[in-house]
Amino acid sequence: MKIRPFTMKIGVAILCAFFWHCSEEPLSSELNHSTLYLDTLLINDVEFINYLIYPTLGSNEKLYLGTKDSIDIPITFIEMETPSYINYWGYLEDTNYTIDSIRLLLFSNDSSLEQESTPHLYFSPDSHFNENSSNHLDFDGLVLSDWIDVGKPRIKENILDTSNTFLYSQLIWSLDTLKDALYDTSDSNLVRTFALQFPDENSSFIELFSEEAASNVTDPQVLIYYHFDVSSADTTIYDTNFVTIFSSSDLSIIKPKYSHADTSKIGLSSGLGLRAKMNISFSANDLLLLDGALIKSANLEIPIDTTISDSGYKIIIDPIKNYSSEYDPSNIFLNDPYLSYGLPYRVSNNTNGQNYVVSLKDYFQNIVLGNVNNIGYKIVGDDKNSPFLSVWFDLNDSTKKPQIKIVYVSF
Amino acid sequence: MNGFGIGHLYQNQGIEAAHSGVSYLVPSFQREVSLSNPSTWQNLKYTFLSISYAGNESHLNELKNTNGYSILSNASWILPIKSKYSFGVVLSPYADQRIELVAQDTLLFIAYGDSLQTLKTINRSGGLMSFKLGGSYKLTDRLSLGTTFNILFGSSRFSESINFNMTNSAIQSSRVKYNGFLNQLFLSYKPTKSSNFYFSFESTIKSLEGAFQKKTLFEDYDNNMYHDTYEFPNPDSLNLISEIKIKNLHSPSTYRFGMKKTFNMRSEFSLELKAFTDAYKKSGFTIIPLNNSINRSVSQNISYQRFPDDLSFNILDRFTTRIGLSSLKHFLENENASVTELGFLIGLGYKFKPIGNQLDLSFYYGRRSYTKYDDQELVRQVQLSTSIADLWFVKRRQK
Repeated sequence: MKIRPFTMKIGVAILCAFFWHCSEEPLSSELNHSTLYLDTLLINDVEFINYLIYPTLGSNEKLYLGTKDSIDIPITFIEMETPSYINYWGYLEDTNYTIDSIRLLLFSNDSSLEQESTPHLYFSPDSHFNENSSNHLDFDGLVLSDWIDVGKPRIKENILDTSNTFLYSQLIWSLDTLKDALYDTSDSNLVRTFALQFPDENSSFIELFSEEAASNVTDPQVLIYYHFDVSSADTTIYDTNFVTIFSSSDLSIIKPKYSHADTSKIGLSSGLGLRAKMNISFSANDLLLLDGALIKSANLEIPIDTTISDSGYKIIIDPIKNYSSEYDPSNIFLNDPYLSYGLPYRVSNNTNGQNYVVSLKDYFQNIVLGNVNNIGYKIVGDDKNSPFLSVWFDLNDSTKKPQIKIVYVSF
Repeated sequence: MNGFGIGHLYQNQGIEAAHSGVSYLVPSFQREVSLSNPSTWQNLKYTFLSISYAGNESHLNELKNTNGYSILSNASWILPIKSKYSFGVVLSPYADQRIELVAQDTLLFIAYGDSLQTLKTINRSGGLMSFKLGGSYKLTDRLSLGTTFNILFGSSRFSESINFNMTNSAIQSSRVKYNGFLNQLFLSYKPTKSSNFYFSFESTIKSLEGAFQKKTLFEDYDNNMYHDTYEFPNPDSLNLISEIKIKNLHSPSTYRFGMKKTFNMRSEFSLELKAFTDAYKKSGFTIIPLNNSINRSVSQNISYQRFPDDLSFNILDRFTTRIGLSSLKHFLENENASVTELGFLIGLGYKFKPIGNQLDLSFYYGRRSYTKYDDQELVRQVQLSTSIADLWFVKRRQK
């Protein structure tokens, strides 16, 4: 069959019909028969227990040393990195470079530091610590007599920015005498660990910035000042410069003065290693109501005892995935016995006045979906909280109990 | 109409194709041929391929709401065999399910001191298609039989939602995949040279079945009705929900009767009656948008057709004229409600080439009234069809 002009015209007419004006407007109607509904559910059956672990402060933004509020911090470790791109430590042995000086810098937000209240710096080329897991048990009986004592620092106070605002004070140690030890090619296990310790057990206390505080600004760092000559027939160029090597890990060893968890009150303190476990019980009717539901919001509210708690304390709630050991209030755990999910179920918020409120929506939805189990929840203070702060829950006031306020959509 | 039962049956949407007018059984395509009545197909002289395209629009007077769409309304391929038998296939829409309903009122929900403005909506999209295989057999010069086997297929998506403070929504969506099998028997009887009687009975061989899959409720942050990866809960965290078979969603029985009287060889008056019942069963799984279904319909139509004079050279004698009036009444299952429709059709067809190619254009205007709703719906439909005739399966002499 040939396509004739007339047939073509028919085709064009059909194509034109495709351009018929289409419109879709919603109709207004009674929707009482819709099965979708919005409702609330209040869960009051929330219980807590305290437990203790040996504290670690590897990710705290400060380094501490000394004694404060029943917490003893006898020693602080800093390990300097070995730069992977250019190993600047190699400059110490390179004959092309003349080393002028080597300095270790630490930073403090104390504008009135005095040299008498500063610690000694010690160096060891082969001492190890683990920023994330080392605790005071690992260093009980540690004597720094085998370490090289660098002495007290020089203090450079009141370093200001361009608008004359105080930035920090610097503690500066000269490492010139450690030049050979810092780059010892015969030592295959060179780690360059420094320790800070007060030479005598007095009541001094000092806070310094750790490497977590601000990237490559107030990190513990070593500066190597050097110069080199470039000579030609009639010219000699004399160039001076310096390189910066930052710390790779740092840790203050905390030794709290406790013997067991106080179960009469429920509280949190990262300095004491005080943590809590929370159990939320759903009744059979609760589970029936939430079956297939969409959790619109699920806010956990815990009243805070403001008389003994520090304000603005950041609390993390992490749902428990599994147990590594049974709960024992007389025990201090080396590692946290509750293995938790972490992100995305881990949630956090700061205490706000008389309450701590955090959303458990995501985890509750996954309980409803059957993806996770409601074993319990680990409650810990954020590592960035000061170890000397604590928060305590008010569980004795019958007018304000811990509760979970759920708003859900179901059908 | 889209909000009732399985949707708006296309047989109730004005006319089915431009070449059929308001009639279904009574011939209006050609003098002795209705493309929707297989018992007349053997009267075709050539094989026909007919395509019909429709533009539909309905307007609610009070609500000032207009909805419209265009669609391929019919595609038929019919092969007559020795003027005694015929075979044909027809593809056409069967039901349109598209509708979006918004609750009349916004409700205030107060939860733990926070207030939420909530607004419910129901949305359904998709529909059903019909694929017919049919044929006919001429028993005698006066009596012929026809039949079609009608395969129904399609799918729809349904969603209920609650919108919060005109921002995000909670959406419950589901999907249904349909299949069903109908059969229709046709009979044509010509007692005299100028009068014809037609009868058809449609029955259900396998009632419409739906493979229903309910999706998990989700929070639609951007109100695009789609569960995006950044929406709650994360789609990756959801387990696949198995399908549930739902039977008896639609089980029609339809009786049709038609008669025509011919005057002056070219003009015909016809009358057609239809009675439709649907023995569906309510399902606890699916929600019907308007919470009602049509369980019975009756319709009547009268029409006048004037066909071309094949022997005339006058161009005006090549036109087919169709005028029709139709009346439909649909009875709803709940609340003793009904829907009535009065419609008027005017159509023209132009026959060209000796083999009888045909171009048809029809316009339908109807007024629909709902007893439950104090509103009238105006229905407009334009249909355009082209029918190409040719000899198929005949060896041609080489030039």
